[in-house]
Amino acid sequence: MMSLLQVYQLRKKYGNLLILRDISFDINEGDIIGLVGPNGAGKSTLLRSILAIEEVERGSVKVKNISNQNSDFYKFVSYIPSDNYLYMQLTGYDHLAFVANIYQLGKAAIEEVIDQIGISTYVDQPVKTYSYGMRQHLLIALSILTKPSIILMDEPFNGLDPTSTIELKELIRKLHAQRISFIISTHNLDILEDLTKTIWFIRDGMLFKDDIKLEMKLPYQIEVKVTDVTILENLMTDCQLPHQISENIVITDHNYDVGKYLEWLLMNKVQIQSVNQIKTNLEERYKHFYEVLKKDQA
Amino acid sequence: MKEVTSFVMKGILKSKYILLVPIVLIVFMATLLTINSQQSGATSQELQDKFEHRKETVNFLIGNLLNKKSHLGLPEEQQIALDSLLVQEEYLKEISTKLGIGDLDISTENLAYLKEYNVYENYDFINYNNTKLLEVEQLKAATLQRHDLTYTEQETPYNTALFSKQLFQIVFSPITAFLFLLIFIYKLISDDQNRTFEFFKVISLSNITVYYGYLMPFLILLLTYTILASFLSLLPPIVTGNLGMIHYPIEVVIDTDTLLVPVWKWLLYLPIGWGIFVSLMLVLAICLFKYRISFSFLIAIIAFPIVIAYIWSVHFGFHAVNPIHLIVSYEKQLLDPNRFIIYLVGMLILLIICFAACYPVFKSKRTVLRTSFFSHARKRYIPKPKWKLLQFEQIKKKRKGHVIFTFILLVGIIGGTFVVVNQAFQKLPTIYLNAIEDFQNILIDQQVQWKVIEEEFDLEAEKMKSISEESKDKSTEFPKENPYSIMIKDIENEYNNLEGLKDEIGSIDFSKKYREIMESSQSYKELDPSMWNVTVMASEEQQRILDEKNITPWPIGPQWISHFNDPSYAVDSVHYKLMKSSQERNTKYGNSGLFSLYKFLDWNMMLIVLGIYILLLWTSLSEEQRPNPSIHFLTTKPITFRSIYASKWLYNLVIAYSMLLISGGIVFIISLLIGGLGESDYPILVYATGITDDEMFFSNVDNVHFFFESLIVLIVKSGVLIVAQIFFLNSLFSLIGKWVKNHYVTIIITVLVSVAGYFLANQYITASFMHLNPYIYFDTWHIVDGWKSVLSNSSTVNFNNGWMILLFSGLLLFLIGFIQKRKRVS
Repeated sequence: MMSLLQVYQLRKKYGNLLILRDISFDINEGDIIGLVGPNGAGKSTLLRSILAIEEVERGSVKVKNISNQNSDFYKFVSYIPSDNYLYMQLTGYDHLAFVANIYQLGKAAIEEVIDQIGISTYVDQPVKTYSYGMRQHLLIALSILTKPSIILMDEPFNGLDPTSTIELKELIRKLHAQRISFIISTHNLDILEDLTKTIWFIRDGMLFKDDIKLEMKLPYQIEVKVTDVTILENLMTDCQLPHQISENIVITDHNYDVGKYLEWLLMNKVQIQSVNQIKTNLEERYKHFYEVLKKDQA
Repeated sequence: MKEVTSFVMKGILKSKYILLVPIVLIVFMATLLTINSQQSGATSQELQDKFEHRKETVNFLIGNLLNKKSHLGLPEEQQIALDSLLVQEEYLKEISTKLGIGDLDISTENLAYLKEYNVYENYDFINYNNTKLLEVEQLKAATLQRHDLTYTEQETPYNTALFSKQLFQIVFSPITAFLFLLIFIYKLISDDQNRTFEFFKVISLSNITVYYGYLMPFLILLLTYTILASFLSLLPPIVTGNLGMIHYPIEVVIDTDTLLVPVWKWLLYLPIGWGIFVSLMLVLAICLFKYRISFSFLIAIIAFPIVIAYIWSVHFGFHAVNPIHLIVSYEKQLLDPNRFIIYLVGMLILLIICFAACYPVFKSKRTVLRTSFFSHARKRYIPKPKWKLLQFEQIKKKRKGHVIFTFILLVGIIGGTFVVVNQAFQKLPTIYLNAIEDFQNILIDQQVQWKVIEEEFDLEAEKMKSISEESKDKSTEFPKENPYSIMIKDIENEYNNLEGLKDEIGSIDFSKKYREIMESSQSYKELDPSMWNVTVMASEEQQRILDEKNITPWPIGPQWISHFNDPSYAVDSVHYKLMKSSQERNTKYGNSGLFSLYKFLDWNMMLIVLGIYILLLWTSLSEEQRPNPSIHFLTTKPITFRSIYASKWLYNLVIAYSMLLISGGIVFIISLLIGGLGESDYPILVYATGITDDEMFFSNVDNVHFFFESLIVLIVKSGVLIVAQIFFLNSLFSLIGKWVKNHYVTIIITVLVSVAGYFLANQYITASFMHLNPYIYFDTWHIVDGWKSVLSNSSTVNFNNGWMILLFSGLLLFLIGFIQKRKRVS
């Protein structure tokens, strides 16, 4: 199956500083990719380079085999920027009408999107009167108006109140159900975790998109059946493996194989009730990734 | 109503712009004060010149009389005349001495001199002053003496009530009235869009309360502005202790009479008249606003009766019910005697009636004009399938208000030119009077000279007779009459003809009579070709063409003063005065549409229009870069970068041409109502350098060929040149906007490049390659009338090359920007 978006060997410099180092990836229909990284890592630059807003040294970007040098590229790609690129003196409706006109859409499409996003109360006011959240809503409305194949979002949750955040997440899920792909760059890891499992890390111009490489050794939680916790404590102290005990739960250390713990417990005739790997959140994985990267670099 | 008034007033006072008004007033007044104080002295110089001239004439007459006395003796009357002249001389010396040290307190001495001259006139001797003018001078001196005032600077005053008058005429002018109206309307519309009126409705305030409540703060502001501006304007004379100058008499010419009107009448009339006029406009504006008329229609509906009132006053003169006289054309009818008081009271009553008439309007619940066509509610942008980017540019400019503002400015500039031309035309009787009196003064001077020579001739003849009688020589023949007497008689006749002509100022064929008296009876062809200058030749040839085509010549004066006889080419001050006087006696005036258009082009007002286009109207790519990078909004759509560039370039052209056409067209149509179309076939002098043609005339003195072209042809050529200028300038602006990321920097660079180009074009006009500089063709009228080719001494600087070079360079600049690709991948 041909990929929806193909990025190949994208390289971008600011002066002597290499921002994007020969980044390549493919995105298929229906993918939601979360893009995370520290400030200055190149997230926004990557998105802008895909859109040809930024000039690159080399590389190619295609969507449905149409290069981003061709204006038809934008028939399939939408963008929600982190900075404000709207016209302050125009109304929200002016922006929507213009985009609809470019894409040869009718008034019905505009009204549909206004209802969908819920911006009818202020769509006829000039953008300069909008709050940050209202502007984000308008940008979202503009991005979905043209029913694109892929939407690039740069920090879309910034400045949104909790209700708007929930609404946006719902919308992304809804659009995702319609097979629209997303690349979402954000610092908000909790929200990203709710939306997707596919998280790409970017740092120093490099993109890390293969989870297997980032595989963490996660600790385990071993539930045992004991009459007296003190006995368990004494037993684990003797085994010389780092651990934590919480009532009848033994927490293994992620640097040690869980098998060693099980072997010790079984040897000491402790009845095992269950063994579960502890799930970590994205924040911990993020921290772990950048520690690993630091170690590798060192 | 008190609550609404207080609410609105608070809103206005809290505005960051409120302090701008007093600051601007103070800065403006201080600037004018500084400029005037540095240029002050014109009146003093004028007085000095006048009295020096009189002193010279008196000395001359005294010299001749004394000479005659020493040889022949004087008859009794001439002896008394001599005594009187000696007394006059003393007064004139005193006056000259005082004026020499800058002391203008000469009214007592002047009155004494004038009284002495009145006595002198009774003697049968040489009168050297214009009697009519002396009457006014005497009245003025008496008035000054009565109020214990000195003469003062009238042209550029800075520390007297005359300075206050000058300021009053600016701060209480039609322009400030219009600005006040704009601010009021803007406040109403923006509050409406911010839903302030809805808020008032929600809190159950009645329409009466709300609308009167909106009107009151602005009337209070109006009063505050009037008081503040008046106080600031009167501050210099108060501080310097010159407030007494409010009694200073200013000459106001009404038909053929010159009246003296004290300054205080202006100081009283202007702020009150202006205040009533603005109040009337505000009342009308708020009544129209009640029906939610859009901004542009509101301005148009208010401007319409004002224009009608102005046209009415031009055609039918003063009417006491016409409010236009509150701000224009009031001097003649109102300031003398005190008719203005009745007029102001009448207008005040009108205002009160209008104020009361608002009541039923505000009370009415029906909003008649609901359609969005008239309504100022922000209309939704409904795009059309064609010219998408052009439409988008238009909506952007429209939402910013630049389109309507530019339109108002253009109407102001073009309309202002027409008003200035028309106002000058309305002053024609005064201009004729000044020209006639000017010429009469020259005749008086000539007569004095000839009378003295006549006396000398008589003296000589008497001498010869005595010698002949003594020697009993009967062969010598003596002339029967003094030949100089005939010349003096001719001058007297001419003077009397001019005096008689004064009484006919305002008659239908006055212009023709004036020309007949002023023009030379001798054709240039009767003179030696070495005396054929362009002015003399062109004047006669033009008259011949006018007679052939049966076209009424433009007033005033029979001569068409060529550029070669411009006073700036004078060799010394005496030469300058003569040239200036000749120019003033022959300056052309008119009020027809075509004449006003000719003046618009002659004064090169188009440069201001082009400036407005660059500063305010035009868009470029740099506008999309800062402060918001809206360029990304556009470039992340299926729109090519080139199409964005080209559409902005095209939009600038379309909007510039449309604006010019619409605003110029509207003003032109109004001017037709005032003065008619005019003569399209009027022959205009066109210079030709390096071209020879049998049909052309050649001036040996100025070494140039010339011919005549009809006015309409030159106007059409100017139009073509203007189209090309806009094309070139737009291409330059667009290209610079592509390279620069800040819109203001684009504007500055474009202006700097244009100023530099224009400067080079004029400074190095004779350089061989200068015809390739597009800016040389920005002096529109001087290109089409060929004067630029004379200055550059090159036939290549002409209309045909002009439009081609402008179009070609414009196209080149556009293509450079268009072809240059936006770099996305290196």
